[in-house]
Amino acid sequence: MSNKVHSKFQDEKDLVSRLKQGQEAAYRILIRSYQGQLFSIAYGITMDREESLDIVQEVFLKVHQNIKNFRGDSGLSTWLHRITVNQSLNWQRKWKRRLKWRHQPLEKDEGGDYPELGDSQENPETLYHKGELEIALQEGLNELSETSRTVFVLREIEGLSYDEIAEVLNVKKGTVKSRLFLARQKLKERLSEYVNETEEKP
Amino acid sequence: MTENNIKCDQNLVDLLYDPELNQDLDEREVVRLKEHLETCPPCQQALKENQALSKVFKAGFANAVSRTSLENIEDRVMDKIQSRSLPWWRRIPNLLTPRRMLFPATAVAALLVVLILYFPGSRSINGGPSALVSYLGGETSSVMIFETPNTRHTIIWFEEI
Repeated sequence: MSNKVHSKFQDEKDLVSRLKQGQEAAYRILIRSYQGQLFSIAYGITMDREESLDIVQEVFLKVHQNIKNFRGDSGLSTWLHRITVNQSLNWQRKWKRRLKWRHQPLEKDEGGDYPELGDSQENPETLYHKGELEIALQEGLNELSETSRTVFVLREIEGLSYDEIAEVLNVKKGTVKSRLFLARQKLKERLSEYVNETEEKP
Repeated sequence: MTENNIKCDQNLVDLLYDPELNQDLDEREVVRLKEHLETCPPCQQALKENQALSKVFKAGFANAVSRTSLENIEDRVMDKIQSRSLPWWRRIPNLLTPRRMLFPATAVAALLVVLILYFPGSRSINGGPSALVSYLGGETSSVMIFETPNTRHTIIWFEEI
């Protein structure tokens, strides 16, 4: 094991030990270290900001509740990712939320602009483009199956390997590979306009 | 994948995208994959598309995520954790916060209003002078039947002489 990996492992082991003792400072470190990551995962699956914030809070509360049962068979981050993915997918599966998500896409105001986007220094064309991209992303992710969407998010946003993704989702590595391929094919079709633009740029 | 020829397929393109992500590959296989990429235009094109897609996705995603503030998460979580460690009788004041009590208090108030206004018998029996409806008199007793004007209660007055 390299020094860097060994050091990270020891830090994590030490953190888990302090969490099990109920140290407040340890929980604060945990939250600050992982809140960004977990929010990205939750948002990638739910595409709902408020719900993603609630999910992240819920994940940390579950950690507090269950840390005594954490045996360390998988790493702490894998455990956190797994809880986040499960919470996010549970939210997705509630039919009312799903209905709200599908029928209330990003809305324009009366002037045709997207509210809350960017700042006053961005020109209207850039803001419009960003808004269109977000809608296309939401629609593209919506068309994917739960597993494909989750695999794609974990790969693209968190940079997890096939093995790590398979461990988080408790599926076979072959499933991860095939779902990732399908996700990319579908998203390339949906986002072809943006993908082609990006390819053409030097 | 054979020893001499690398078959161009979906898995290969994913491997080419970032071979280090597949922990089954050893260094020699990574080198062979990279050598294949240098001589295979379809794989080069597929890889280019994947990289462009990744860039587009990350840009759109980052834009959406950047508008969300995570500042309050730590305080909210720590408040709940600290509240959980209190004995149950010390958690009661938290239940009585104005926001939490709003709905139950409104429900109780509405119920009280309904009970006071509509519950039978909640009004005073003495609604004013009573009217004699009927009188039955005999040698040993008499019965008078009154009706109250407003509430229409019937009062039967029996008297032994």
